[in-house]
Amino acid sequence: MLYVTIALFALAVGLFALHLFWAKARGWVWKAVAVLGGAMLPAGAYFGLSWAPSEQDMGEVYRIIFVHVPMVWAALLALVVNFVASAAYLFKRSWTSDSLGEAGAEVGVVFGVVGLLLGSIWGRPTWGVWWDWDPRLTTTAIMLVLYTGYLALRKFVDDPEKRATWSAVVGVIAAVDLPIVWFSVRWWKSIHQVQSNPKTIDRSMFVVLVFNVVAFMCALFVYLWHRFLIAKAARAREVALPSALPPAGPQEAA
Amino acid sequence: MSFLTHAMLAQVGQGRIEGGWEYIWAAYGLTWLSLALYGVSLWLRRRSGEPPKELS
Amino acid sequence: MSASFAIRPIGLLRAAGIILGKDLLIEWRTRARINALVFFAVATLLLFSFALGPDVDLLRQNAAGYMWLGILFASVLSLSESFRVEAENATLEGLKLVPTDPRAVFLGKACGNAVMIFALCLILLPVMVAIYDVSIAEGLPKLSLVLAIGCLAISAPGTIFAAISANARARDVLLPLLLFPMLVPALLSVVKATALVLQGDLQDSLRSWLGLLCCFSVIYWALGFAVFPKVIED
Repeated sequence: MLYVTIALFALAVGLFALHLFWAKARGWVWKAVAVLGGAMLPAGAYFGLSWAPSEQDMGEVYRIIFVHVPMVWAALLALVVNFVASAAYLFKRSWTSDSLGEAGAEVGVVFGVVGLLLGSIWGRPTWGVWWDWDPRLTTTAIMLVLYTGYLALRKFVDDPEKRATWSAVVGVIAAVDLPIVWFSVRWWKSIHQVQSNPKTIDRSMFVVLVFNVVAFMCALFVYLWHRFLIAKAARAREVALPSALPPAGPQEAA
Repeated sequence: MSFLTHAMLAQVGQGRIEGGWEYIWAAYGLTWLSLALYGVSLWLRRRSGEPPKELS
Repeated sequence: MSASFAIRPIGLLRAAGIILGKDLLIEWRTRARINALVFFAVATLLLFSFALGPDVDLLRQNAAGYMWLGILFASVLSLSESFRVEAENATLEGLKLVPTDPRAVFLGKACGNAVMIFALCLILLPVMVAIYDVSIAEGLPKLSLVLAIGCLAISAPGTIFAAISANARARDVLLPLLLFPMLVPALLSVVKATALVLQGDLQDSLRSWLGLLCCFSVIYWALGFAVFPKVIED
């Protein structure tokens, strides 16, 4: 099981790299990743729900970790994509990095909202409450509000170039803010209570977790790529619009 | 866990959360539902299958 | 060609100072903005006490938090106003044509906003003393230091976001939506620091919260300084 997981991980990373560095392969790589993810997601759910042993203290409920952790990691990865794309746009304007930023933020918010809900579902039976001012939870919530603001900004600005620049600025600022938020919330919280350490988990559980992470990364990749294509097509339409219209009058051309 | 915690937990059974399968099903159901719904939304938003024009 | 026609770029700090002076002069001529801000913030402070009931101990304990929330809400109005006056007559275009570094616009505007918010803080202090029954006499120098750094922490990211949202649709929604979640670390540390000054610092933790606040300010002043030319370029 361990070696199979490592092999699948390597396969997925190889496919991502192929997609990234070999433009000609972009037509089919995402289909391969989709097949891989489509096979791994149900398998991961099966491993998580019945194959992994039950946990010492949390019993069965801990099985939510196999969807919660991959979901949040996928969201974080999508937002890292957004940050890299935003920073890249500020150095060199390109519709590719702008579209990638839009894709990263939206997919990241979707995965993040679901991940937060999953964490809340997990918190209810284990902590007894739906919400706790845990630094991770709090930072995730603030992160989602920040990137919702980013997406709202994109909606509210009509000029594509201004929208690209401003949202890149906001993307960079939001990414810089997140470590400070995490740090400050942890500090703020530490006055009230001591952080509990997560226990080291069993090896078979770890393997199942990694398996699920790989499966979710595949899903994330496919979603990101398609959201990117949608964004880029939208940019192409926006930029191409004036030439499709009848010739503009002199006052409009000025 | 300290000895004291163990002793306290021994009195309330194994100190282990029993059952809770409804939470697990809710979590897995939510995961699959959201992944499927987002996939559908991306599918609906695809632009007539044409490749985007090359931009600068 | 006589030398008097040559365009001589003026220094960054001097340009920033001129912009700051211009903003303060505009503000001083009408005093409309600061009046509105003060009434808004005082109303907010009163509303907090009505929402909680007349429990003096509770109000005194939470005074720092209420005060900063009032300042935060009022500062959003102030920040959006600072770019609305420029957008109204398209004077930002004029500022961009001035042969100087566009970063000077950031420095001038952010300093102007910080001064406005700090003035608001100073006016709110006696109000807070009166309605929340806190005593500020012994820690006044420390308190003004905390207030000043807090205003700097709000004004730098606030200026960037105000410049962005001034030209967007639904700008009144957009500015708080972008700014509030971003300011969470600043709000946490400034409220903590203010409360420590007001209620006494038993564990000597004021220094670390002030440090966090200073870090936040420095990071966002530097970031704003770096990216602002991109924000206002055409």
